[in-house]
This record gives sequence, C-alpha cells and structure tokens, in this order.
Amino acid sequence: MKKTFLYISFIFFLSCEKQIENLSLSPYTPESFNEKGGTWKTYILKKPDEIIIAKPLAVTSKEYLAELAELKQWSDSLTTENKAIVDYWSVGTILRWNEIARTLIAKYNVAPQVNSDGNYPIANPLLPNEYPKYPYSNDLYGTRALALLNVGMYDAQVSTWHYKNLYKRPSPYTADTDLKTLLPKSELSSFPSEEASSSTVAFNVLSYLFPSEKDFLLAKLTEVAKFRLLSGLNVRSDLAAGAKIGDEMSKKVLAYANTDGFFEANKQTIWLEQRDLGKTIGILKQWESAETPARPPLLPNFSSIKPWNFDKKDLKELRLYPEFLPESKSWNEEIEASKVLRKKIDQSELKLINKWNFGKYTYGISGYWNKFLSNLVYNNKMSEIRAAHALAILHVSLVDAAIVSWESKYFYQLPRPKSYGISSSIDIPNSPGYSSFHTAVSYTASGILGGLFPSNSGEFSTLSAELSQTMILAGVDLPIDARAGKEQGNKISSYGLIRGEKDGSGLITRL
Amino acid sequence: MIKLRSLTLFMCVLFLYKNAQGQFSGELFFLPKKGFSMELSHEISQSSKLFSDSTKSIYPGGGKFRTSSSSLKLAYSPISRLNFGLSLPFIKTKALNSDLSGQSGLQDYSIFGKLSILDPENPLSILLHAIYQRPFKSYDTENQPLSIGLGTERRIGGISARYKLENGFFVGAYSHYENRNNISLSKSGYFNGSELIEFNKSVIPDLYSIAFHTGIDNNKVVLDIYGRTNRSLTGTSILAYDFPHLTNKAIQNVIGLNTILKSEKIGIKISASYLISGSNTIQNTNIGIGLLFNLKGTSDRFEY
Repeated sequence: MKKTFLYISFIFFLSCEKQIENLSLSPYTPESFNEKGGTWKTYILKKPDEIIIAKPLAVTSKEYLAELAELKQWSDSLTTENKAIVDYWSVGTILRWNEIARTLIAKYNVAPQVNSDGNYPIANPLLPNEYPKYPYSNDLYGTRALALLNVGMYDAQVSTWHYKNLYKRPSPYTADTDLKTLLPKSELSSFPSEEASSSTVAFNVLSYLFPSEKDFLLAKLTEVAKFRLLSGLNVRSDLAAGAKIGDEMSKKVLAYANTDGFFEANKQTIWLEQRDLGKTIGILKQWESAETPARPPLLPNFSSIKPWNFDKKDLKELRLYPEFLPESKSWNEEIEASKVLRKKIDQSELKLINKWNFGKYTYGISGYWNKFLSNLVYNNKMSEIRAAHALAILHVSLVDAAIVSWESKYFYQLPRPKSYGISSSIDIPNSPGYSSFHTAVSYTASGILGGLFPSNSGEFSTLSAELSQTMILAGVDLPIDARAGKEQGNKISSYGLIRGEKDGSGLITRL
Repeated sequence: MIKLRSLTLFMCVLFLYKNAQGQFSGELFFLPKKGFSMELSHEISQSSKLFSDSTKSIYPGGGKFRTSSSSLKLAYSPISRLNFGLSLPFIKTKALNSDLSGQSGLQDYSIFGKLSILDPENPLSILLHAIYQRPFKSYDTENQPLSIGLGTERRIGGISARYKLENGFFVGAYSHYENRNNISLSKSGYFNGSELIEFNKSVIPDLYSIAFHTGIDNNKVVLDIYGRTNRSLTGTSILAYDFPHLTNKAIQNVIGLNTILKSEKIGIKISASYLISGSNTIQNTNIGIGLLFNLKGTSDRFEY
C-alpha cells in the first residue's frame, strides 16, 4: 500500500510545477515623495487648481474621528481575500492600471475577419459586444490608449499633489498613532488620495476605450478604495477628494479624446486620393494589401490626430522624402539583398523575430515599451506622481511617433518586401512600409528613456537597433523604411525631451 | 513479477514520440534477444481546419499547412524481454495557401525502452513503455503550426496489453502519460485568453493517451486498426481567429491503421490516420510509409 502511494505520488509530482504566474512584486517605499509635484507642468490641465477641492475638515472634527473609527474596523477585517487585494495594489496604482491597460489592449488586438461577401466589418463603438468586438486595439489604438491613460493619471496626480501641499492634512496614522497600517508610513499628506485620483481616471478612461470592460474595471476601482481603507492609509474623505479630482480630470481627458482627430483616422478616401498624387510624383509601384481579399488599410488617416509635442505644420518636415523610390537601382538592390537575407534565416534568427513580433493578441510595440518603463519605475522606486509622469512623457511621444510614421506611410505608400515575393514567418502589417512604425516608435522610446535614465541610454538604443534590424530580417520592412523610422524617432524623442526638461520636474536630464 | 519500485523507475524514464499528431506509439517490432532493427520512415501530415474550444469553428484565414517528417529509428534487445532504442526525426513545414514561411530542422531525439512483463511466447503480452525525449537542438516554437515542434523535454510512461489468437487476430489497448517541461519563449509574454502572462515562459500541458487496437498479425502481414484519444490535462483555449498556442488544452480523437508487409529481413509499412474530432487542435490527416530492416535476429512480434 505504501509503495502504491509512493508510486502515485511520483506520477503526481511529475505533473506539478506546471503553473506559470507573473513575477510577484513587493510594495516599496518611494525614494522621494516629490513634494513639489504640484508645480509640475501638466498636459491637459491648464493649472493644478483648475479642479477645485474644498478644504478638508480638521482631524479633530467629529466627522473625521468617525472616519478614523471606521478605519480601525477595516483593519480588523483582513480576510484572505482582502489581503490579496492589498498585496496586489500595494505595488502602486499607476503600475497596476498600466498592467490592466496592457491586458485589455492584448485582449482586443485581433482584426475583424472577412465577411462572406468579401468585405471586412468594422467594430462599432455603439455595439461593443457584437462581432467584431469594439475596439480593435491595434498598434495605433493601443499607442493612443496608453497616452490618454497616463496623461490623465499624471495630470490628476499633479492636482492631487497641489492640494496635499496646500492643505497638509496629516495621514490617519499621524492623527491617531494607535492606528495599525499594513504598508510603510510616509510624511506625505493623505488628502487627497493619489491612489483614488489616478484610479478614477484610469477607470473612466479605460471604460471609454474598452466599453465592454466597464464592469471589470469598476470591480478594480472598488478594490482600490478597499485597499486604502484596509491598509489604514486613507480615510473616506481622502478617497472622496481624490475621486473628485479623478472624475473632473476624466472629463477633460475624454473631451480631449473626443476632439483629438481620432474619429477621422479611418477615413479611407484620404489614402485613395493620396495614391493618385503619389503616381504624379514618380512613385511607380505602390503598396497593396497583402491579405486576400485586400483589407482596407489600417487607420490611413491616423495623422489627423493632434500631436502632443510639436505643431501639426511640422509634419511636412518630419515626413522625410525617401532616399530613393521604388523600381530605382538602389531600391532594387535593397529588394535583392532582402531576398538573400530571408533565404538564410536560421532558428536563432526565427527566435529573434518572435521576440519582436507584436501581432494579434499582443499589447503592441507601445505596450512593450510601457512594460519596459514600468519595470524601471519599479526598480527605481518611483512615487506615484513620478511614475505617472515618466509614463506620460514616454507615451505622448509614442503617439507623436505613430502620427509621423503614419503620415509618411500614406503620403508615399511605398510597398513592403512582400510585394516582391519576399515571404515572412509573421503576419505583415496591413499598411505601407515607409517609414517603419516599429522603428520610429522604438527609437522615440529609447530616446525618451535615455533622458529619464541617462546612465542606461546605451542599453535602450541597442534594443531599438535590434528591433529595427529584426523587422528587416522578418521581411516586414526594407532597410530604407528602417533608416527613415530611426531618423524620425530620434527627432520625435527630442521634442519630448525638450518639453520634459522644461516641465519643472527635473526628471529629464540629458547628458 | 517486476517489483513496484522497478516499475516506478521505469515509468520515470518515460517515452514517446514527436508531436502527438496521429502516430501510433511503437512502430518497431518487439525484438528477440540480441535482435537489432532499423526503421526509415516518411510521413506527411496535412491540416485542413481548426477545432477551437467552445464554438468548434474554423479559422477561415488560417490557411492549410503540411508537415513532412522523415525519421530514423534504431532498436536493440540485450535480453529477450527488453528492447530499447532511439529515434530522430527531420521535420519540414509548409504553408499551403498563405505566404508564411515554412521551417525545417532536426526535431526531438527519443530514447525508448519496452519491457515485456510476460514470457514473449505467451499469447497475452503486457509491455511497459518508457521514453525520454528532448530537442536535438534549440529551435523556434512560437510559430505554430509552422514551428517544427513544441521544444519541450518529455518523459513518458505507458503500458500496453495485447491478446493474440493462433490465427493471428489480436485485440489490445495502450495507454501512456506524458510529462512535458515548461519552455522558455523568445517573446516577453503572451495573452492566454484571460490574463496577460508577462513572463517568457510557457506551460506545456501534460497529456495522457488511450488507444484500442485490433487486427491481424501473422508471418506475412500486420494489419492494425486503432482508435486513440490524446488529452491535455490542463491548458487554455485557442483564441478566436488565432492559431493554436503552446499552452492550449488539446483533445484529439484519432482513428488510424498500420499495415506492414513482412519478410524475414525487411518490412514495408504503410500508415494512415485521421483526426476525427477534438478541441484546441488542428484537424489533420497523416499518411506515412516506412521500411523496417531486421539487421540481426528475427522480429515476428508486432507491438504497438
């Protein structure tokens, strides 16, 4: 019997250790609380007190004492479920909401399939649960989503920090030294709650972008309030004031989103008009959709979106005239070189292609850099406002890079390698090749990250170069596409860095 | 009788075979003492549609794929009740109606063993099977179904039983458990249908397989007809309009046959199988041909 048990145990053992879980993150005490965060320059908010928050009641008031008493009850109700909520959110709401955003982008990143009549349906925001589900969170949608989310959370943090300094209401554990807390204490005022302001923005912005997920997002928002009460770090009036900032800020972000030009992004007539123009300027061969039947191009008018860090009239200069045009000698040489390259692909190169393949059900290249910066935020123990700031600086620049690259793509409509019979091991983006979107976005990201973390700038550039070369190896881009993308990325990141240097935060330092 | 401890050790070493796409488990004959045999085989597997989890729908844009597998197997029997050997397949994949690039390369080598519990002359045979398998060389796994394999290390333990009448008619069953290692990915993460795994590791679910065989086995010919089910123990579902992922919980219900024309020194094998139903898997049809050489000794006992 004992032997039988041992045998069964052994077989069972073989099937254990299968679960893969994300690495668990531990809460940290920020290296700085950035007390002057309320003075930093915002993106959408004109000034930090544009959202009005009334002076809180004194900590000796009857109402506040009742809130403290409630807090003590919360600290006595730490169930396993509640502990899991505290553990999850204690890493920081900015990091967690970005993680949730990446998940939603990946979940909805699948293109609609062709109908039986040969047409491709378009996701309808008014019927988000019907097929094709809204949104189709492609690379462009995800890039813009991460910018709106992080700009909103950052501006809300600046306003929150402004009122923290203005009112300086002590934290509950300072007002009542007997209060137990689950997380490290800080000198920072607890009113308004920065977690409540950022989370309310995140809930509203993500619900706007992913309407079918509203219930899920509401559950997450509810968890944040619970987390703050359970951990003894905020009373209800702290949370209410934070939520008010978040609500007001959300309205401003959504108003921005409704007028930033995105609703014009899928205007298909634009690219057809531009196609005719391209022929007149000597472009002998133009891009064609690689799909069967031909799929209408992805958001051909995405450049109608308002840039964050430069003026729209600068687009013409950023477009970059191609070094040479299709069918020219130099062009044909690049095509031939790409054919040779593709024929020699080995297994290690296939792995490299997979590493940088952001196809369906992924969070896209902007999501990659979002995750990359999130890791740096965590490793550098940034405060909530610092984290939101770094992510906002990055993501507005990535939108700018997308605008510039997309404008070049549809202005010239140069073909991708596939038009010359060059195959790929991954799906080819349904857009013209020049300039390389992935390269433009990545060089923008590495430039911005180099400003945020100057001592690591070489590492970031190496990653961008690897990605750019891999897109050529994958048969997605030609070298001419990559060179243009790199030049555009470098220029776009400069715009972001110039703005960052002047925003009063001291976060951007260029060597 | 083999002691339980020995049996456990044998089960630990584990066995089997390529990518569970429809092959049956023990192509080689059970060799007599000091027997030595070799098999060269070539198999083509062609997919036609995708069985997803909940809707059983196909992925219209997914296209069709062909996998060719050329294998070399060698087997030796040091004693009358034990056979062991090794195999190595070369795989080549191709997309038939899309421009996605196919791949090719040496896939996973296997070291396998079969232990006969009863006397080999007994009409009832009971075999214990063990296979250890791992990639011959690291290869891409993230372009399924064009990748040449799953890239995982496997340990497989199985048992088979067969009863053969004097006229050659036989019935039997075979079952195995396949333990597969998690693998590293080139990607920094993936969406599994409910959560984003931001970690470059992928679970390869364990699976078990049960098969029933019947047919004829005489001096000249073997005709083996079987039905088999392969089932992953854990895993996720194929995402809508996507290809299978390494982590999927696959179920495959397969029917197939093997025919072997035997002579003293050489056998010609023809095999076919068809995936009749399943979930989270690609429907496919396999056709194979092989040559079996009895380089030393005779091999008059077909075993699955």
